[in-house]
Amino acid sequence: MFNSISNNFGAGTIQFRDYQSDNYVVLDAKFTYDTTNAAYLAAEVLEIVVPDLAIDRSVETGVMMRYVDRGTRNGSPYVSDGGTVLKSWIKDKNTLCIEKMTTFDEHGEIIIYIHALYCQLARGANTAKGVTASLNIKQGTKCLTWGTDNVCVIHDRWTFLHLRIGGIIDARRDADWRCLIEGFPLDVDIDIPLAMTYCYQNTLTGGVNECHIKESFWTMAAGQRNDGFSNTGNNVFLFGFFVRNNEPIIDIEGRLDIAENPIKGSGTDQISAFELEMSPLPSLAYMTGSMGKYGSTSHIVYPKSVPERMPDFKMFLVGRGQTGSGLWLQLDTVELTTIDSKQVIKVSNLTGMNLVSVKLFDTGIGFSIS
Amino acid sequence: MISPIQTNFGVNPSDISFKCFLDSKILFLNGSFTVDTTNADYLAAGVLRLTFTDIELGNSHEAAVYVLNTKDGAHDITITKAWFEDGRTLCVMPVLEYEPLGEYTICILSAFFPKNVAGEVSLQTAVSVTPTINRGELAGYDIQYVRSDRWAMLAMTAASITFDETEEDIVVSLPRLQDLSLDFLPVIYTNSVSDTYGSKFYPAAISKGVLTISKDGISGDTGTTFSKFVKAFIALDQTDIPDYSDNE
Repeated sequence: MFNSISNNFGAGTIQFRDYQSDNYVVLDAKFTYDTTNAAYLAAEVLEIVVPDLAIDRSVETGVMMRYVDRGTRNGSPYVSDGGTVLKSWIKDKNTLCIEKMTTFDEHGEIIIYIHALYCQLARGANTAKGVTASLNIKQGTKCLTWGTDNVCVIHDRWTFLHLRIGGIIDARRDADWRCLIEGFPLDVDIDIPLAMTYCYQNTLTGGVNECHIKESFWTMAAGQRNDGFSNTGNNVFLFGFFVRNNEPIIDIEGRLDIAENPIKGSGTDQISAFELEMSPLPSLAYMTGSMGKYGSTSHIVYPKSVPERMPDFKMFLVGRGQTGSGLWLQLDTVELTTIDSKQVIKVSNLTGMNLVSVKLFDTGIGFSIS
Repeated sequence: MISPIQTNFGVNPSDISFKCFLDSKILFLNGSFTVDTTNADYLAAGVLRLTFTDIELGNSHEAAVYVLNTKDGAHDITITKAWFEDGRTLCVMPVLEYEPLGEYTICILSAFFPKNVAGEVSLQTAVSVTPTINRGELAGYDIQYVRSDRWAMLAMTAASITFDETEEDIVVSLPRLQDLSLDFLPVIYTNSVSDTYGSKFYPAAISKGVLTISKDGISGDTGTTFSKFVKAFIALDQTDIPDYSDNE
């Protein structure tokens, strides 16, 4: 987290949440500026002076701008917030730039949302592909359907998210909406612009509303939604890089932890977002991971390495099924065991079902297999 | 017994109490509480939080806790995540699928431990139990437990359980567990993976090593081919390790 030092458009101090590495920077910020301010009027590019960044220039990326347009039309209140995307780049170690667009200056106050990853310009680097996380979006009373093209990548210190609203249940179009994005980090607390095709009051660009994510809950109040929000064909989506509010765990020496995403076995045996940690006394162990397999009662996966002091053991865990309603339960055993001189992890369904389609997030007591 | 000093979901903390065993690195917690899903505090809460003054555990790994729907005679069950943050706050992830019911109960029979610990592992020993069946029928069972002087873990599977025609419960004595008591544990089974609210359960309790499974209005054997099961961590009140040497 850092504060801006100054800017050339009269916006006051801007607070950034940041993650910085040697070849990219992830920044989150939300701020407003007044389009009648003399400094703004004089600026050609919006420049924010910041403390030293980890990179000295970046490729261009996009940040969102939004204006708020509320009023009455034919005696009825309307919401018709709009906006668009602006170019943004890091000019030098201390200057973040945003394209100046005057199209919406008549609205007076403009909100800028920075949820962007800035890549170092003109420097080669090895590429590490992100692994998409599996999200399960849950609702109490169903109000929305979500697109099937959602994408989430979870890094230790930041996350990328794209969500698209596929449709709206008519009976809930006027309710406040609340969904749980299971699988999304709990430590993101952010206001996010929600872009859409329609903006009835201003047809120059699409509409832009604001929604929120906190503790994996996505929320949006009814009064914040544009007229026409629920229309068929109004493609509504959010998109951004979000810095997590966490500190990295620095492993203490001798920690008994295996984490791989995914951890693979032979054939279709695989566990996503796998972590297994054992506590020395009294050998409590925790395992998380998702797996799906039909026609078998077990998965066997091969960890790349096992901490030297982690012994072979077995434990009982309760898991939640991933097929059907996704709420049914199964009792599983998890074994760290040695087969042909190699330590493997075996998850077995004990309930007699000929499938292992389960999400585990439980602790068990580790006992000796013999 | 311990009670939270604060909750963020509209339930008076003094109405909640847990049996627990805590040392510096582990916590065994037993207890339950019911949430009103129409309560404004609940709806605003996001993650459900219970703050304690007498627990200091660090940030823990997640543990599965049971979620029950018993409204209008229902016996629905699923699980959700629970964990400790900031040392003394128990967090529970709400179950949105149960919200249309108006209420649901969180039942904790779980163990928690902090992340990022190291040391020499001393594995526990699981003991197989051959029960004495006093009433009803328990077939194709496997019962295993691990225990210390202050806590126990019980895991059971049974291919089928059958109530006597005129009886409302199944009574099973668990040798070596004579000092074990627990007010409630669910005996879980699945009729269909597509059931709206997940699996089903028979309510059960353990009193001095005697497991009683109640029919509780459920119409006998469900006919499912899937095994019934139990998994519970149990915090114990007494401190003496029972002497089972004559049973070895």
